Formats: sequence, C-alpha cells, structure tokens
Amino acid sequence: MPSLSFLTTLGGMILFAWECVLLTLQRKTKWHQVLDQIFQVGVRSLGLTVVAGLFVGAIMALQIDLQLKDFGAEAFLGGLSTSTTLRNIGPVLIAFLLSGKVGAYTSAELGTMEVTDQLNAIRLLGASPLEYIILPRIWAVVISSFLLLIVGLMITIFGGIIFAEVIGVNALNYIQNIPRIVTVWSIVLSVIKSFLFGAIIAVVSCYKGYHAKGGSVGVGIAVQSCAVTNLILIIITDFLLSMASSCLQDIFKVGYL
Amino acid sequence: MGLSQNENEVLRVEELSFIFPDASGPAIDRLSFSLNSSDIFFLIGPSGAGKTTLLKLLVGIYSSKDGEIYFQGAPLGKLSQSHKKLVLKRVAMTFQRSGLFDSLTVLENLLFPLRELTLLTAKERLQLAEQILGQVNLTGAESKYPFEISGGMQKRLGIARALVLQPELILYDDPTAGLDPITSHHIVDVILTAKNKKKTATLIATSDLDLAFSVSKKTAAKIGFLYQGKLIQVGTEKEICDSRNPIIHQFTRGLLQGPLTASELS
Repeated sequence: MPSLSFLTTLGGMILFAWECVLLTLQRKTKWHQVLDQIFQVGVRSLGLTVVAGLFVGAIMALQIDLQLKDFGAEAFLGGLSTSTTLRNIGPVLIAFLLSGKVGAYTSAELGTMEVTDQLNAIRLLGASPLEYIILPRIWAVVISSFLLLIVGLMITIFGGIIFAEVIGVNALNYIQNIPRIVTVWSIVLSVIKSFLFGAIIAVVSCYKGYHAKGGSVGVGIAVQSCAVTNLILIIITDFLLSMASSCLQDIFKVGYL
Repeated sequence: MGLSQNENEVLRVEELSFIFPDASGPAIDRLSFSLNSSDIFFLIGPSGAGKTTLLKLLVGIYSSKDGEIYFQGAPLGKLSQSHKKLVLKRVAMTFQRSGLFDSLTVLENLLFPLRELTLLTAKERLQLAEQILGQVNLTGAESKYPFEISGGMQKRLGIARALVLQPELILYDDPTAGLDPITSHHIVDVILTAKNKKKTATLIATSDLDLAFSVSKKTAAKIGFLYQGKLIQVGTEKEICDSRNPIIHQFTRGLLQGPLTASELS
C-alpha cells in the first residue's frame, strides 16, 4: 500500500531527524565541515535563488495587478503582492527550487557514498556515518536553505518593485503601500516557513541518500524519491502552517492577511 | 582450519546464519569455519552465494543473532557495542567497489583512520601513511583524488587503508575484480607481502579462480566453496579442482550445463 509506505518513510525520517538532534545536543557536530558544506550546497545556489526570486516577484506583481485593475485598486499592489509572496508563494516556490538543487545534490552524493561502500568504510573504522557525514550535511542544508530562502524572499520583493515600474506603477507608491498590508506576523510566518522548509529539504535529502540501495539505479531512485517527498512535504507543511496562521489570526486577532 | 580453539586462532565462526528482511531463504546458512594467524583462506563461489554478506557479517556491518563469531576468542554477539567496536578495530576489510572516500585525497584516505582511531601525533601519522603508501607503490600519488587514479591504484589504496591500522585479520572482497592479469598479479603480491610481514590472518572472497588456485598452490592456502550461504566444501586447490560435487565441478570448469543457473554464473 503506497500510503502505508509513505507513513513508514515519514516515521523513519522523524526518527532520523531526532537522532541528528540528539547528536547535535551531544556536541558531535563538526562545524568546520558544516562550513565546507555550506559553501558546496549554499553559496553555489545563490545565483539560482536570485534569478528565481526576481521572476517570482515580477510574476506576482503582474498577476495581482491584473486582478486589482478590475476593481480600480492598483494602489494596493505593493502590499498585496508582497504579502502573498512573503506568506505563501515565495517560500514555496523557492523551496521547490532548492529541493531540486540542494536536495538532489545532497541525496545523490550520499546515495553514491552508500552504494560505493564509503559509508560502510566509515562504519568499519568504528566511526558513525551519521556523525561524520550526515550531521554536517543536515546542518549545512538547514542553514543554507534557510538563508537562501530569506535572501530569495527579499529578492522577490525587489523583483516586484522593478516590475511595478515596468507596468507603470510608481515604485515609491508600491513601497509605501507595503507596510499598510504586510505585518510583522507576515514576516514571522515567512521566516518560520523558511526554516521548516529548509529543515524538510535537509532531512529528506540526507535520509533518502543515506538509505539508497542497489548501485546507480538505487541512487537514481533515491534522488527521484527525494524530489517527490520534498514537494509533497513542503506543500502539506505550507497548508498546515497557513491553516494554523489563520486560526491564530482569528483567535488573537493578529496579523491581518 | 578446524573447529577446535587454539592460541593462534584469530577468527572462529560457529553455525552462523543470516537472512535479509523479506528474503525467502537465508543468505548465510549455518556456516562454520576458523582461521589462524598467518592463514590465508579463499572463499569462492558463484554470484549471490553470500561471499560479501559473510564478510560484512564478520566486520559487524550486518549482524545476526543466529550463530556466533569469535574474534581472538571473544564472542562478538555477546559483547557490548563499545567493546565490540574496540575488538573490531583489529579487523580490516577492503571493498569490492573500493569504498574510498572520494572527497579526500590518497594521503587523506590513509590519514583519516589514523586520526580517528589512534593516538599518534600528526607527524607520526604522516610518516606511517607515507610508509604504507610506499609499501603498495603509491608514492607520488598522495595529492591525487581516488577518481584521478587507475582501478589498480584504487585497489592498492584500499589495501593500504586496510593495512594502515596494522590489523590482525584482513578481509578482501574481490580484490582483483575488473583488473587486467598483470595488475591482478601485482595486487596478489601486495596482499601476500602484507600477510607475510605481519602474520596477518587473511580471508579473500573472490570469483577469480586463477588467483585462488595459484596462491593456494604456492602457499597451501585452503579454499572454501560457498553456495547458497553454505560452505559446501573446504580443501586445497587440488581437492577443489578434483571435487565430484556437480556444482563445484561446473563452476571450476566454467561449464554452461549443470545445476548452476546462468544468473549464478554471471
């Protein structure tokens, strides 16, 4: 049953993440390796994030402007476009891109290490692959993805501003409208989503790579499964967080939009 | 080769069985043998016979509750995890697919186990690593990455990494797979030199019958024939060659007709 298999994988990933948290609490993280990995997976994804962010911002500005024109409410473009981008579309789209770039790289690298006995060689030396290989990558991917998401979100806002000028909306008006609709809560929600999506990409890609089996075919399956699982979990998490945010908003009357 | 315990005994396997989850039959089936220091033991058999699985059981990558593995008299199954780790530090293994760390250079591949498992100073580690690299003729390749050196050099580096901690038992998983005859010959020399130097017990799993038979002829090493997880015959090169067992007969002569299927012979 596919649903049962998905739940089993989900349970496995939660235990895997928990094991990594325990190792971190035991101060087993090798931070110099984390920095190396941040360069490998994070810095090299910056260009992609910037380009994607600019276009996401522009698309959102264009789409929302079309809707607002019907009501003669173009003045609200800056606030509405930024709010929607920050709270939903931006984190999700950039997380999708990062799951393809960072997630696929990490799961393929770990999968290759597993099927070529590199992880067994570490086990044989009495060391733990979780400590030496997985933990630095988990933290590197969490930190990189989180920072890239934050950078990406700022770039989406910038992309929106640039495109607003192109379609004839004054950039200053666009910017001035942002704080009228975007609240602190929108930013907090965006940061929470960025962190959680980063954690999802890290755990899923490391878990799938670490459990790859059966040569190059196994690595292919691990990468494919990593991509699908990341997309599903990011979408579900986005939905749950948006629901939770909506409930909190109703209860505490915080952060309209 | 026998079941009685003695002072020179390094490894004893008693009634060891192992089954993979979801598998219909055991990968290793009530297998028993022992190995003394300085012994060489060849494990031959068709693909999927359980050679690699057995090696992985012996070094603790897989674990089984059926049967027992004794390393220098210590039953691995009854030891605590930390004690078992300590005992297994004296066992080394080379992998069929080399298992080299491809993000580390040749020299770093040797320094990694020394840094993690010994109390040597940085200078001592470097000296030992360079000495072992010289032993396997890899001097000059220190700064290269595993993917920058040939298959034969990778195998030698794998052996060097196994030797660097001066183990008392070394397991080789198909050490000459995919190599030309001259390189294979060189690998055999490296293995035999290492074994003679330290009197290391050596277990070689291989599909290379020429390798097993030629070394067995020279050193009187025993050969065990593994089939479907069972050691169906143990003997000298001559005993295995003259075996009347139809499976061994077909395998050693490379016959297409016989009890072994095409997939087992591939």
